[in-house]
Amino acid sequence: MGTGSQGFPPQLNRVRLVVATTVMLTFISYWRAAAIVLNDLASSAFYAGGIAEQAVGKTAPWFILGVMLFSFAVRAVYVESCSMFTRGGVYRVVKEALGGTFAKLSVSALMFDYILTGPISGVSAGQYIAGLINELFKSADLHGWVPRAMHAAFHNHTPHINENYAAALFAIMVTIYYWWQNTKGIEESSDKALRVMQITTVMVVVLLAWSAITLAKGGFHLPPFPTPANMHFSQEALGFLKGTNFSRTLGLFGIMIAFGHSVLAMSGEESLAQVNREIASPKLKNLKRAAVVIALYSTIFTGLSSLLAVMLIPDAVRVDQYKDNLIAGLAMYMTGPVMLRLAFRVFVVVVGFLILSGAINTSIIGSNGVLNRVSEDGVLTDWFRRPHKKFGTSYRIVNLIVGLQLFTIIASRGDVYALGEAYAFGVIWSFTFNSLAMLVLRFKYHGERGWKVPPNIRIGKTEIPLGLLSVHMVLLATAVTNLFTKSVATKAGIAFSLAFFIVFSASEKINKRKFANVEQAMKEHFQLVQQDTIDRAAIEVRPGSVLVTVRDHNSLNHLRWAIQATDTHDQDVVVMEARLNSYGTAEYDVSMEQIFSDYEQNLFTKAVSVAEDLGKTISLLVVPARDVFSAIVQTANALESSAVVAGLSSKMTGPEQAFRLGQAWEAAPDPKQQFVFQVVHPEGTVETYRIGPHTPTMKTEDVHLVHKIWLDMKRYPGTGEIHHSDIVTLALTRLARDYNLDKEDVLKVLKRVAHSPMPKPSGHVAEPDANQPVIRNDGRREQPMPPMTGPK
Amino acid sequence: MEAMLKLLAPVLEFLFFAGMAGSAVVVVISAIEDIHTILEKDKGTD
Repeated sequence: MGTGSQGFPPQLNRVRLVVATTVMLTFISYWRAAAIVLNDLASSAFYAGGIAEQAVGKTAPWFILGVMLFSFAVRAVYVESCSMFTRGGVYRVVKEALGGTFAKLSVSALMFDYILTGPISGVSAGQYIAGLINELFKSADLHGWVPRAMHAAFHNHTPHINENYAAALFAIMVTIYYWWQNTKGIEESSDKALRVMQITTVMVVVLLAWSAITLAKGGFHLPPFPTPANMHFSQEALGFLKGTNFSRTLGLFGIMIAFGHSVLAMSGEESLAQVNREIASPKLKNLKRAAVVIALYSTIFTGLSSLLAVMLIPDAVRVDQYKDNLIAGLAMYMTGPVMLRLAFRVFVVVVGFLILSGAINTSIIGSNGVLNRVSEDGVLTDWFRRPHKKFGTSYRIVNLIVGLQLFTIIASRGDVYALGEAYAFGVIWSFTFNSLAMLVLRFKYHGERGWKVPPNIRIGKTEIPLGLLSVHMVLLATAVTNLFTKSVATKAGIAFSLAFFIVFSASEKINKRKFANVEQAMKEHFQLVQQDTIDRAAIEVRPGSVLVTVRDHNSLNHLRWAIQATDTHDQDVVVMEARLNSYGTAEYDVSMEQIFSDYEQNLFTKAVSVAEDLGKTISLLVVPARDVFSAIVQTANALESSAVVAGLSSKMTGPEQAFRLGQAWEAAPDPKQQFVFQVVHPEGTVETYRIGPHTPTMKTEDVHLVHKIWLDMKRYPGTGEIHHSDIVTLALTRLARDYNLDKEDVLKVLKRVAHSPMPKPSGHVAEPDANQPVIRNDGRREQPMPPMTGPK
Repeated sequence: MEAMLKLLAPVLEFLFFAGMAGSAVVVVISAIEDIHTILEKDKGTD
């Protein structure tokens, strides 16, 4: 546990504030990690093929397939970066290699990528839905099911909706929905990602199998091979080259242009670096496994679906009708009855909706994470990460991201092609910066490196990273080519990235001045100590302490209550703030160099003044965490705390908070100890729960019943050794046997018992139970709960 | 623009196609390593 610590020299009048530098995480399998990344990466299958074909023509699927194969090499670069830094994302790697200015530039490009992920995913999902509605209108009209009045409303044409406007409207609605969810503080769950990928896999398997049958029955022609003669670029796809002599004899350069128009098929690789930290041990192996799953899955799905679309959907309708919903078009040109094909199209749209709307959420969470991360590093001012009063989220960053996304959707008017072109700018430049930085780090970084992109050749004492250099060369050449061929993306991308860069640079300057003051104030009031991990020795507390969680300096009633109720001569009070990190936030561990925001300074100052008011001492602790409940359980275990005290959440009831803490306790690794959890309401009511297995509350009549049975048994000879506990053991053993024989019957009886009115507990001891809060509506003065464990 | 591209295009083409050849080697070698990684049993920690 806690290893090296560093800090400022101790002063007697300062309160010790320990900053844990290792994020408290719950680890996930490589399957779940792959599912999280694929939710972003595989979603591009729904639009990449259509966009590429509009730009390049019928040879597009070969380029999509080429990009997907090349993504194996890009993935290798990310695996190497993650083997060096647990968070091997762009910001961390570029900052380490090329310094702050390049890091800000690369993060600006990454933000452009992230912010565009939302609009392109939302608009694409909208296109699939709008396309389906129009298809349903068409089918209904063919069967004569459309009323005349409706026909009249559409000037005697088949009823239809404008797909672009409907898609934009849909994207706006979903983005606003996720804005609100993220403002409230969304639950990030690998379960959801896994479910979505399971459903998507069903669709992919059906799609591939059905396509194979269709091709076997009807014969097939492969798309024209990607030779310069076969490539037919649209005027838009030539960008600044349009009308030049150069554009008439493109030759091999045309292949690079086409590759550049297909590169968005591998967008989402960055997410791999962001989930790396959560991957369970053995980390590197599992990271590689996740990376293989991701690359194979996306190659099969994105690559093959683009190829199949060109092979199955007739040229006459493919670009004209299905350019923005290519997989839906594929469903309609399978062999089999129309109704079955239509049903499969509905399934495709449902899956598209799930994965694409999930990508909108991922983009908000990812952008929020990255901006929070740079904000912690002092590149954005505190103003941005000031928490929401009610929900505690960095709502100003969420507002900024969603505002930019809504602006982008409206500006695009639902045009997936324009969004895709712009999106590719962010994707290719963030990859290019990352690979360049990794190349520089081969010569500059001498720390631990778990794996290297092969091949590497040695000339004398110098190792030449041939593999890494090759990947960087492709990315750089494609990125530069795109500058010439994507006029709108180049203008928008440069303008956006520059705007972000200027905001970052200006904020950093403001922050430097401000940080000097905050740092001075922190040093004056607190003895800052940095610890890798948390244990009792690091915090200098005895076993059985009371852990109080704090977040908002305006809501410290529960802290006052806990300090009042605790005799600090016997029991220590530890005040803990969990610094929440979402994916991409803490690209590297929290350190002293990172800014303590003024609101954190305020929070700790107020916590100390509450303790001083009551004439007691407290210990302060900052813990970086992905999940607050998991962090509380891990900290309580590490400190051997006997009680945890929290204020009432603005989002959950007391029982819900206890349930979530119980879940985190169950998920925590052994050894772990039980503790009491107390939720203090603003008006002073306290709910108490026991977390972990514990002796349940027994009804008076149950205690009497056990005693009666025991008395009765005692009348028989040879029963001297029987105790009350033996009776309970026998009863439980029989219940377990009955439960194994007939679960339903036992559950039915138990439900009946549970619903019968509960008699009042006897005596003066009320044993709290995880499901039965002991609510004491007795103001702040009365001693809360019992026990030997909680505040006395 | 055109004059600049005439100069730049050969350089970019070299970077792209030479890089592609090297990347193909990266993909092949990593794929062999990946097969080992997937088939290898975990010993508990790295």
